[in-house]
Amino acid sequence: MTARSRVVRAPGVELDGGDVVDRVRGLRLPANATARAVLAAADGRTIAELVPELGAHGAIAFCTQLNRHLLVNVRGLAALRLPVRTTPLRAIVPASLALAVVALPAALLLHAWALAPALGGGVLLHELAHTAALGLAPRAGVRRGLRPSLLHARLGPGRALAVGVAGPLAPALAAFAFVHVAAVAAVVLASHALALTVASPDGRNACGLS
Amino acid sequence: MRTVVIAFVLGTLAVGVVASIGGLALGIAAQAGGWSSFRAGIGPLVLVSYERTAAASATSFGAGLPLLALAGGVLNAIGAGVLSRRGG
Repeated sequence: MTARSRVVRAPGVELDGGDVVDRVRGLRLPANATARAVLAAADGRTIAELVPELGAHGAIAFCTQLNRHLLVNVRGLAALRLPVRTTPLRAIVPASLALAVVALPAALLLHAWALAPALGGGVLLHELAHTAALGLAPRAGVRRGLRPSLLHARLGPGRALAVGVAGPLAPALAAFAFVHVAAVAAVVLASHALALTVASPDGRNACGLS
Repeated sequence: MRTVVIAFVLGTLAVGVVASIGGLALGIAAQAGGWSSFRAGIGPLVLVSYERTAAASATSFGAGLPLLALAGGVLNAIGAGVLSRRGG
């Protein structure tokens, strides 16, 4: 991120008086004057233009914090390494395709080309199943590098279990359909089941541990 | 208690699915590669066995597979218990 990186307010984030309202997470948080000023003006202006009074380093640090809290998106080359908050499909599909492309050379080298589509397709199926399980609840897609995830409000125990389990289970069950066609791809898809354990955020969410 | 029970079920499911697919994939690889008969397991517990005869080949799961899945469930439940206590 540089002082010339462009900043836009994340979808679903609004200002209401002195508060920042996140419609997706169902949160209303008090904001200081600088945060209010940045969020009000974050329409694609550069970081340097948004908060000149903080200086380049201070402005970058401040916008980095807002980005970490998924309140603003930072455009440009920097955005590839920073979280991007957008609609679910715009977060999931590019990340899945990129994963497949990145894995393709190694898959071809190992004479197991099915590895690449299995990696990308598995992630696609995983996140689409989470999205479907969320139903019509407000949600946003988040992409951190090649890792997509879904942002939503805190769910009740039953709903959290359903949403947490749906993602890992969808590609894992699909593995049974593929095992006779492409055994390597099936193993990759089945490995998503490990996300049901408490070692993964999905498993912790399903168990009500987060 | 609810957390630990769910963690046990999900851990069992996770390890069960991965081990089943892994076993099936191993059998398919053995068939394609023309491997001779083998048994894969932990000590006396057989997870997967592959039998090859002149006429046919067969992959079968042993008693070790459900036990492995249950062990995964127990480990996950222990993990959930620890995380639950740490969380307050």
